[in-house]
Amino acid sequence: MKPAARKDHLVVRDLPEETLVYDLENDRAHCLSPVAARVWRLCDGKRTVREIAERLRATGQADADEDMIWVALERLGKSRLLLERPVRPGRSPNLARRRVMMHGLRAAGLLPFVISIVAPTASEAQSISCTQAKCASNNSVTCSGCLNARCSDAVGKRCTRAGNECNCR
Amino acid sequence: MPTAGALVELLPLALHSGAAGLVWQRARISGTEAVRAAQSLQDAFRLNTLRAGVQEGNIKRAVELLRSAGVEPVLGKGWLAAKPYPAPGLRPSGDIDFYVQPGEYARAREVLGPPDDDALLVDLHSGFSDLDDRSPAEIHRRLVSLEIGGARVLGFGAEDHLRLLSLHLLRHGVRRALWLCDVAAALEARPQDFDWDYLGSGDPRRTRQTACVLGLAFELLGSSRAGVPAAWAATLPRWLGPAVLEEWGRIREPHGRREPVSASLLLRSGVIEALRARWPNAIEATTSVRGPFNELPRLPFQVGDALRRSWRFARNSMARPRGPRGSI
Repeated sequence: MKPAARKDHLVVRDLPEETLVYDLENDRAHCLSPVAARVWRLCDGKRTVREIAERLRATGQADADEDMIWVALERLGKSRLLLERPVRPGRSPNLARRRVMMHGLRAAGLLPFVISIVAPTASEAQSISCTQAKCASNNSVTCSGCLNARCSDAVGKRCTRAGNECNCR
Repeated sequence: MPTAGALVELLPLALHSGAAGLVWQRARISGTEAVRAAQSLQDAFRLNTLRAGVQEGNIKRAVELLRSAGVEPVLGKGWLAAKPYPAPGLRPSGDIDFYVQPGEYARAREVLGPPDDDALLVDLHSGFSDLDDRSPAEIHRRLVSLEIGGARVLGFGAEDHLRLLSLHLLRHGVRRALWLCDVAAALEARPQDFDWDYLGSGDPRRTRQTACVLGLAFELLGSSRAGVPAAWAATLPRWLGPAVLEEWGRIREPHGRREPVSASLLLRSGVIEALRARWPNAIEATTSVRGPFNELPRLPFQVGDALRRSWRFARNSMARPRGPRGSI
């Protein structure tokens, strides 16, 4: 298994405490912990999981082992930040061991988390944060504040109300 | 610094006004527990950061499209307003405001596609909008060259942009706190050779309005007055500051995002709500009827503006072809 990070159609911004990634293909935003970001950057399609762990250890991440890399890869894969979703060969660590490992990583501040960011409100970014779901979620007078706004996940459509129903049309 | 409880109470207003990133930065620097209570602020900061990157790519693509049609656009507001902020996460990105010469507008619109299908979110302006009281040649002479996403783009000079931001802010009733932050940021980041005389040139009524907006930035946001000529320390009308604070204290949908009046009239409960949502605040009413920013009461201007809008609505409704009976 030689995981490869996606490079196309992504906007990446490094902040002091985290790395942010915007996926232009599905308009999703993700936040990577420093550990997850380092693993992601080492996924060049040439290194194996063991080599990624070795590389991390060699550059100061003393606790990095293959289990930790797999946790990061699973999360990166689930967020579609890898070209292929990784499948761990052989037997996965049992649930109890996995829990102990996650607890240890969390305690050490090394949890390779990848979280998805959701737009807090429609008005935050004016015309680009209203989605079809948001528009249709509430048939109020203002359609959850999305009325007449562009639907970010339906190109060329706006949130409108017909009768008592809000939808992107 | 706000307590956790106060921050939670403030949260909807911060998100609505576009100032969530700024509030997050203050909370983060202070290290208060309030941050935990307002995870949304951090997410707003993160999204602002990413959307700024997305917008830079869109600006580059839009400029390439426009140049392919022989149109050289001028950038204003949005990205240019965000430039003086210390971090892109502090300000949300919205549309891309491009200004083109009236004779080039049709061509520009054609290459960008109709407004509803424009995935790049370009708000295309014909001419220089609120700056149409000044010489286009002088505006062009003062344009600045910017590098955005690897492309060279022309933007308004500092004086023109500060005036544009100020007049736009008033025209929309200082509805968003963010827009006054834009003015404050532009004011404090002005170049050393900033030309105050040129800022004041053009229609004296608009110059007075610009001075009032700078006064609001001094009074409400505590902008630095260092280096600002005394002539620009305008005395604000007594009603102006309270009108702004009242507007910031409520959440109202902006023009173009409200329920159409015709649809509201079909819902009995919606009529009063629709009228209330449309009642102009003192600032937008004064600007709309070209009234003076002085100490006179504002109610006549608000009534005048409401009548003007009602008349326009009635005239447009009568001019619109009628559908079958019962249709909307």
